[in-house]
Order: sequence, then C-alpha cells, then structure tokens
Amino acid sequence: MDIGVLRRDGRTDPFFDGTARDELMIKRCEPCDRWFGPDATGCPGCGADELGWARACGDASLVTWTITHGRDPDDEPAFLALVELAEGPWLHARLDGVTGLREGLPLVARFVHPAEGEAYLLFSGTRRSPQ
Amino acid sequence: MQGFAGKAAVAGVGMTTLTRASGRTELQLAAEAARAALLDAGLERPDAILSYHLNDSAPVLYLARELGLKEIGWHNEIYGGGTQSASILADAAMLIDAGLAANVLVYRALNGRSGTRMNALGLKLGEGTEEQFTHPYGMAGPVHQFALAAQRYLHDAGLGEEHLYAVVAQSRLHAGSNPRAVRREPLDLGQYLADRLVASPLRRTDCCQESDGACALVVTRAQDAPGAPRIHAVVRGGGPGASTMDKAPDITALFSRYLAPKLYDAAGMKPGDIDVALLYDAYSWLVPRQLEDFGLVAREDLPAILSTLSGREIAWNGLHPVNPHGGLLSEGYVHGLNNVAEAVRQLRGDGTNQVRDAEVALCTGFGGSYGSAAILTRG
Ligand SMILES: [Zn+2]
Repeated sequence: MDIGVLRRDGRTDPFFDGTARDELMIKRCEPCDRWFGPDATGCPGCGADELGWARACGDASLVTWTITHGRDPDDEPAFLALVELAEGPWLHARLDGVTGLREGLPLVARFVHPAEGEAYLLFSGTRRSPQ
Repeated sequence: MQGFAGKAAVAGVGMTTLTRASGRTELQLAAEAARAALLDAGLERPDAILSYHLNDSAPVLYLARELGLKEIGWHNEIYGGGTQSASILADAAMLIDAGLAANVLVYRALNGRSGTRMNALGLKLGEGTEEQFTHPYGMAGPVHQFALAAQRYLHDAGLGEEHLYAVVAQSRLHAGSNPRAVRREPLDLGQYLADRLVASPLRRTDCCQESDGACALVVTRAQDAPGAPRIHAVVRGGGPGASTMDKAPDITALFSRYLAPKLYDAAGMKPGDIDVALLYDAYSWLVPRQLEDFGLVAREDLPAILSTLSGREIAWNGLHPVNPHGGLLSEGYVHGLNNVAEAVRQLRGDGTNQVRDAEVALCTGFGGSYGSAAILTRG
C-alpha cells in the first residue's frame, strides 16, 4: 500500500520541519521533564496548555503490529505498528523492511522525502535486530 | 444496588431480517422492528423513545410519525455506537424509575452493510491527528486498531490462531440453528486458515457480520410485566487501552477491565452467578479478553477452554455459554442491540439454543477501552 501525501496544516509544522531535515521532533514539557507525541496539546502532569518541541533520538521499540492486506492480492501488505520511543511516548507508525517481528524489537526512525508533500517517517530495524 | 435495579423490565423485543442490502430506508427498518417489539410487549404505543446512532439512522421523531403517534413524551437520540448497546438499558430504566415514562421504546436501525460502514468512520483520535499521523500510513479504521491490540493480546495470553478459530467455529455452530443469522454454515479449521487476512492476526471471519437491519426493545415498569427480564445493574465508562492514541499501560485493555468490578459491585453478584454471557464480539479475540475480565475464565485456562476440540466450553450447553445465537460474528451486527435482545429471550426461556435454567445474563457493548455492561435477571 502506498503512503499518502502529507500536508502541513499549521498545528504541527515543527514536526514536518523536522522530517525535512531527517529529525524526529516531538512535544516536551521542560518543567516536568516529560515527553509526548507530536499531536499532544497539553501536559497532564502540570496542566500546561503549551508544550515545546524537542528532538527525539529516533530509537524506538516495537509494542505491537499488524500486517494489513488490501482486497487486491497484488497490493503490497502494509506493516503498521505501535512503537515506544526511547523518550517514552508511543507513536502509530509504519514499518519498513523489518523482519523477525516481536514485542520489544529495537527500531530506528528514518525519513523519506517524496516528490510531493512533506517528508514522512518510517521505522526500520537496527543493526542489533535481525534483518 | 442502583436506584432503578429491578424496577424496569424488558417486556418486548423485535428485529427485522438482517441482510447485506436491505433495499429499505433506516426508517422503514426502525418501524418494522419497533412494531414487532411493541406487539411482543402487548403495547399499542410507547410513552417515550430512545435511540443511538452515528448519524446513520432514522430520527426518533420520524419514527414517532411513522408509528402514527399523535404526540410523544420523553424522546432522545444518543450519539454513539457499540458503547451504547448495554447502557441504553439504564437510560430507559432511569426514565421509568424517575416516573418520567411508564414504558420506553429503544431502537437501533442502520444499513451497516449497504450504507455507512464502520470502517469508513475513522478513529476519532483527535483534531488533525489522523490526517497527519495515521491515515497516510495506511491505518484507517477500527479493524486496524483492534488488530494492533489483538496481536499483543494473543502474545500476552499465550493464544494463537487455533483459539480464534474455536471462537468463530462455535459462533457458527450456534448460528446454525438461528434462522435470523446471516452466516449459518459450519467452519472447519482448513477453511478458517485459508481465509484472507485483513489485518494480522485478524481474518475476514474474525470480524463481525456488518449488516442492514434494526432491533428494538420495549422497557416497561416491572410491575406492568411480571414475567419479563429485569434490568438489574448497568455500568458505563472506561479508561486507557485499546482505543487510546497515547501511551497506555496496557494496549490490550478493553472497557471490561474497568467495568467488570463496578458491574459486580452494583449488582451484588459474582462471576459465578452469570448463566449466559452476551458478549460484544465485533472481533473474535474480544471473547477471550472479556471472559477473562469478567472473571468467567482465568487467563491460564483460556488455551484449554478454546482448544479446537473443546470450543464447546463456550457453547450453549458448555460451562460458560457465550452468545448462543451466534452473536455479532454470525447473527449480524445491529450495533450490539441484537445481543441484548437474545439476552432477553434467554431469560424468558425462548432463546436460540436455550441455555438451561438461565436466570442471570451479562450483556456488553463497547468501542475499545470505553463501553458499557449490564446484568439482566429473570422476571
Ligand atoms: Zn508539565
């Protein structure tokens, strides 16, 4: 299954500024030292309405996954997953070229720059995980 | 005990035929089910009407006009899907207990197969979230969300595809004697394994039968319907789990983790009191998950209970009868209300594959880690 065209809409522009330069930007509450997903809008710890953006290292581990199959048998299956970032938050993610799927499998973020739309995020295996 | 406990009874149930393409409007479906339920209850017209929907159904006032009501009392529409199927019993019982109505018609009508399908409804994760973080990557509907949770649940509980097969195969066996069921043919392991994976570990046959149709119930004052099943306890709520986008302590958690203790507490009952379980089985793996959460089967006993040879443990005549009519997996999917209708039949003694001496029925309904559950008792 092809990946759709991503468009920024003003709410999460720093995330896409990040993907453009191969960096994973997520939300962070400095006073609480807590990290959140890129779509988070506030800190449940201190009640802050505004969260800053900060660079995540890109390391992650696999929480769970599903392989989706379209009606057309010629369609490539899509590997969808929930991953836990090293900083803590979970992300819905698409895996690329990952084999030996298991809970806890180490993953690393990488970025693809399509001709149209924003750069998007994929997770691949690391050298530590079997390929 | 809750204030309305035992004061309201389900005096009538009605359903249309369930199909893949009704060729009829939601209003026509609602009216047919409503008339059948009123006839079953021996009532000419309802005092009050409640419905739940996802902007895919017939408005209450249209139904009132279709039924020829010159005026109508309390009426309301609740926005929601599977989470409502058990809790709407409390919405009706509260009206009766408060003296606002002597009886309440409850219905759900949808063209869920030929019209708006559930997988087209998106995930409601938050404003802008789906467009930027899930949808372009191919994560679209509830089936993907429930597949992610299923994968992890099977791993955690030590279950595999043969156990999911046992759930579906038993559902089909039950449905074999249910003329209302959309799928009635037996399913062997080879057929199951050969079926197309929609989102691993879920095959097409692990998913409920999206269908066109309507189901209606008539809830009345208990004293007006001495033999009718009583609404004994109802709870609604949830917490983090399978349907939350943010980090959850356990991605496999469903509504039942949060609601089961509250339900037993409200009912003054324990798991051993349940004679028949009408579980919201939109996907096969939700059956073992709920059996475990409601204390009916311990996690370590699930593999044995659901082994291919002894799937009969969840049969109508087994130790833990589940959905003796075939449930949402085989009878059809009227957003869970058809399972509540079967609970009523079982407690009246006119159920499909009637469970012997059924006195207490558990009904559930949910959309992930939020939902509702009810206990009904024989009248
Ligand atoms: Zn904070």
